Amino acid sequence: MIRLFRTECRTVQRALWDYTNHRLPEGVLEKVEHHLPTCEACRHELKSLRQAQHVLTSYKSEPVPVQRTDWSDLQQRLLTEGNAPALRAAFQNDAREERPAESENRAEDRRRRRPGETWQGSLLYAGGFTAFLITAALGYRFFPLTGASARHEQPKAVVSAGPGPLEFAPSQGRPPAGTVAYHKPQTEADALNPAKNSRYNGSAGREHDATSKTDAYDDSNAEEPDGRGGYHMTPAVLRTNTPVKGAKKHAGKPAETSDPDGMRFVKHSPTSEEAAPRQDAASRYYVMDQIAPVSRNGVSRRFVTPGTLVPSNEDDAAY
Amino acid sequence: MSSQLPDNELLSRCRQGNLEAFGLLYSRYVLQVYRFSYHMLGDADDADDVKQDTFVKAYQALPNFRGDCSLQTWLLKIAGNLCRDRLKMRMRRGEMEMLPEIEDSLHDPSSYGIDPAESLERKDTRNAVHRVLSGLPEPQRALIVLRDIEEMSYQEISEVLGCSVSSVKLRLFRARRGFRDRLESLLKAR
Repeated sequence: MIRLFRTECRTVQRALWDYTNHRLPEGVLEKVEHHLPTCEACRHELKSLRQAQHVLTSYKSEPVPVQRTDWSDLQQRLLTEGNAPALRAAFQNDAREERPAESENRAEDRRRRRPGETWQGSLLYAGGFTAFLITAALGYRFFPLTGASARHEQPKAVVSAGPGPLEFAPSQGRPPAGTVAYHKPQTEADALNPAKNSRYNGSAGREHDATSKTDAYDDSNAEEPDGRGGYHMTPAVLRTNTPVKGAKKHAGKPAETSDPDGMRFVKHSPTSEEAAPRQDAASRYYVMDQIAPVSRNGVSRRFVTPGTLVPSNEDDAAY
Repeated sequence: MSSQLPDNELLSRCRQGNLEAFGLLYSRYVLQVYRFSYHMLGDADDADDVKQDTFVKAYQALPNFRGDCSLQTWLLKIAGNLCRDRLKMRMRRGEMEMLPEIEDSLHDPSSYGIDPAESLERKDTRNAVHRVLSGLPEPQRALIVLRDIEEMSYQEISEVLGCSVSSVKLRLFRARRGFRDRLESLLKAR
C-alpha cells in the first residue's frame, strides 16, 4: 500500500507544475485532484512549486534589455565574415556598384600571401632549392668554373659531342635555356686570327675584327649557317654586360639588335683580350641563359632558369 | 518584398542570394533568439553577441539547412550551442556572473516612469531568477528557459535539445525541482 502510494505520489508530483498552469489533460487532472487531499507531502510540494512558478511568471513578464545591435550591424558583419554561396550570389546580384569587403579581404589575403606561406608553396620552394643544390653540385663536379685543377683540363662537352664549340642548327633557332656552352681552348694564334674569330659574330661569312672594340654586329643574318652547319654563340653573348673573369671589360658599348620576336637582346662584342686564348678562360664554362632581354630603360636583365651555372664574377652583383 | 511570406519561401530566396529575404527572417526571429540568449547568459551584451553570431552562422549554413525542423527551432539550436560555449568559456576564465546588485547600478532605460517600489520589486524578482538560473546546470537552465519562460512545446524543445519528448519531461521535472530548491534557499537567506 505504501509502495503504491509513493508510486502515485511520484506520478502526481511530476504533473503538479502543469496542474498549476492548468495544462494537464483530463485523465491526469482527475488523478491529481483525487490524490492531493490524501497526501500532505504532495500538497507541500504543490505549494512550493506554485511559489517558484509565480516568480518565473513575474520574471517572464519583464521586458528584456534593449538590443545593442540591429539588422544593419548584422548586414555589415555578413559582408565581412559571411562566406556562404548565398552571400557570394548576393554580391553578384546586389552589390555590383562597389566591391564587396569580403572579396576585398580575399583579394588582399591573396596579394599578401606569399607562396611560402602556404604549405604547398613551402614544399615547392624546398623542392626547387634542393634541385638547385643538387644541380649545382653536379655541375660543379663536372664543370668547375674556376680553379687550378680545371685550368689544364680539356673542357668537356655537355651538349655537343663534337670537337668544336657548341653548335646549333639554324632550324633550332636560339639555343634553349639551360644549355651549357663551353669555349674550346684555342691557341694564341687562333685567337688573334680574325678569320677564326668570325664565328663569334653569328653572322655568316662576315669577317669580324676581333680587336675592334666598338663593333656593332649585324644581326640580320644571325641565324644563318656559318658554313659549318650551325652558328656559334660566344660566351660573351651569354651574359650581357658581364665580362669574362680576369679579362678586361669590354670597352665598347654593347649593340642592341632587333629581334623579330619582339625581344631585344644584346650581343657583346668581344675584345681582343677576351678573344685571346687564356687557359683559365678556355676552361671556363658558361651557361647559356635564355635570351636576355633588354628593358626599355637600357638596364639589362637576365632570366636564369633553375640549375644554371654562373661564373663567379663580382659583376654578378648587377643581377 | 512581402513580410507575410512563409519561412520556406524566404529561405529559398536567401539561398539565391537575396539579402532582403534574410533580413525579413532576421526581423521575424531576432527577438526570440535574443531573449533566449539573455535568459541563458544573464547579460545583455553577451546575449547580443550570441544573437549576432547565431544569425551569421545561420546565414553561412543556409545551404545545409534541410528543413527537418522549423527555422525557429534551428536558430534556437544554434543559439543554444553558442550560449553553451560562452558559459564554458566563462567557467574556464573563472568569471563570476555579474552580481545583480552591480547590474542594477547600471543605467537601465526600461525603468523610466515606473514606481520605485514596483521597480525595486521587479529588480528583486529579476535578481532572484538570475541567481537561481545561474546556479543551475546548463541543460536544466535551457529547459527552464525554453519551457517556462519562452513557452515552447515539448516537441519543439525535444528538437532543440536533440532528445525525446519523454526525456524532456523527465529532465524538466528535475530542473523545476532544482529551481524550486534554490529559490527557497535564496528566499530563506534574505
